[in-house]
Amino acid sequence: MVKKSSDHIIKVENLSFGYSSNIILRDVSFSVGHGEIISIVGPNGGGKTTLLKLLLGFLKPQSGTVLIKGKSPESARKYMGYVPQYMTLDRKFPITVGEVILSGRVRPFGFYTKKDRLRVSEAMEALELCELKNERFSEISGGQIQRMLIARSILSDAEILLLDEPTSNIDSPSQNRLNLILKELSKKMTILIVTHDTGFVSNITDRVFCINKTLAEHPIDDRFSKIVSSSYGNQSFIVRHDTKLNSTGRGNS
Amino acid sequence: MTDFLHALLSSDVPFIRYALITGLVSSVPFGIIGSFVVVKRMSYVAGAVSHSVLGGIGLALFCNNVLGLKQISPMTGAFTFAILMSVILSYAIIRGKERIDTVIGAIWAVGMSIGLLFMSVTPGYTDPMSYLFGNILLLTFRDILLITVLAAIITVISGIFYNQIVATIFDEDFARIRGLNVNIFMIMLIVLISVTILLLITIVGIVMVIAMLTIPPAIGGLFTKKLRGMMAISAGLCAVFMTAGLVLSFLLSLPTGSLTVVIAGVAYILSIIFYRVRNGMIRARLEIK
Repeated sequence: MVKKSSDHIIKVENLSFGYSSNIILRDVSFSVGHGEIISIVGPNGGGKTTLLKLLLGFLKPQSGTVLIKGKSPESARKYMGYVPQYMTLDRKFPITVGEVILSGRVRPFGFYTKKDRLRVSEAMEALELCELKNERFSEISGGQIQRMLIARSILSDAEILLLDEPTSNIDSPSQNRLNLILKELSKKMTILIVTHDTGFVSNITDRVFCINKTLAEHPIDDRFSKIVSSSYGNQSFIVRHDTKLNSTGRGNS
Repeated sequence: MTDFLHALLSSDVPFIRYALITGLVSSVPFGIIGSFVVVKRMSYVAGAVSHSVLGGIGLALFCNNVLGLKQISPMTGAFTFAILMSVILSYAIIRGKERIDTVIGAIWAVGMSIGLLFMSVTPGYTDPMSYLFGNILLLTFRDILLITVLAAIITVISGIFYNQIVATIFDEDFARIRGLNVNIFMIMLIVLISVTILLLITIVGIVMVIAMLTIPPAIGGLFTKKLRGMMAISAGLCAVFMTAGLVLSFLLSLPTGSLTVVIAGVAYILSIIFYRVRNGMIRARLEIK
């Protein structure tokens, strides 16, 4: 059931993918509506990152179809914003926070315009990064890097935001801040989060897709933690949408 | 020093002037491309290309002396090999199916071996040392013209595609999503590196290219937050090191290439010491507050 809009922005049908005899995804089908926040959880090697790469058009399906706004992923990349795991980026790269965000406007040819630079300031304001504009990328925290990469995607006019393990290696206050930002962004964007952190996703997600070669959709209710624990062996904590965090950063599970 | 200035202005020893002009003209592309090499961690790619061009030099000498093709100069041979090797390396990197360190090692050793084989079958004595360690006596006025044109081309292309190259080497996946053909920009970068190496070989020689391509940007990186700043500092340092190397080699009668690299190495060590001491003092001051 699509919660926020019946208009599908992502439609995946009978998708299968593998390397020679090693099947990674089998007969995966789902659709995502405008403005939804979807979490994709599952064990290591379950196919989460592969699904992300298929949605981005970096990999081609062996069978089945992936449609983003009715187009192939390659044709629809301009609608996508991608926030990688920040550990995959070179922390020693001599680039400032402002420059990384500005790179959200990079085009196949040509220079940045005055308008592009003005939009950097707007995005930084929205993500509470203004004071970090001239800070070196290597000198900011994990939580700040996540917000910087989200700001870069906003600047690229993305309609769909894909986040790969956004809470890995960031502390609890930064997770809470990220949580609020994603909720705010979902008013304008569709968000897909690939994560191990079932506690984080249960707080903000409309629907959860559990992937372990095949895809199963689970409801976000009191059964969620039991399902995840029994299916994937992960201990998880539910943080309800209306739950206030206690001093340990955990809600009532 | 007066002797050097006298030699610089003398019409009897034009090679000093040629070497100084070459060093200064090439400093800008060295600073730009060297910074890309350092931040993308491609110094071994640069090493492979620089050593493999000996194959082109050997082949050109063979064509020149044995086949009578006088229009093929060692510089032309080196240029052809640099482009050929950069295409092979680009293909290997983009295809991603071979182990890239194996490809680098193969290009490095096979290129050098081809060069030495051609030199050994070319009549007369050819000293490979002058190519391996640089010899400013080899520079001709034609070389200077070629180097100036190549330096200008490298600088202009790097300037026009600066944003695209930076986006590609910082986060290739995001650049691809933004519609950039990242393979084209990787090939462009490797070709630019190869042509820059060609310019550098004329001054410091094949063996010491990696040092001159990496030390100035490494020093620059200690004192700036931005890649552009790193490039500017690196270009300035290249000009200083090459001029100092030329002056000292003239005064002390020592090889220019080796002396230039030693000067750069000493400057690097001093910069690291200065950087650590300065940071330590800043930290101590903050702790007192």
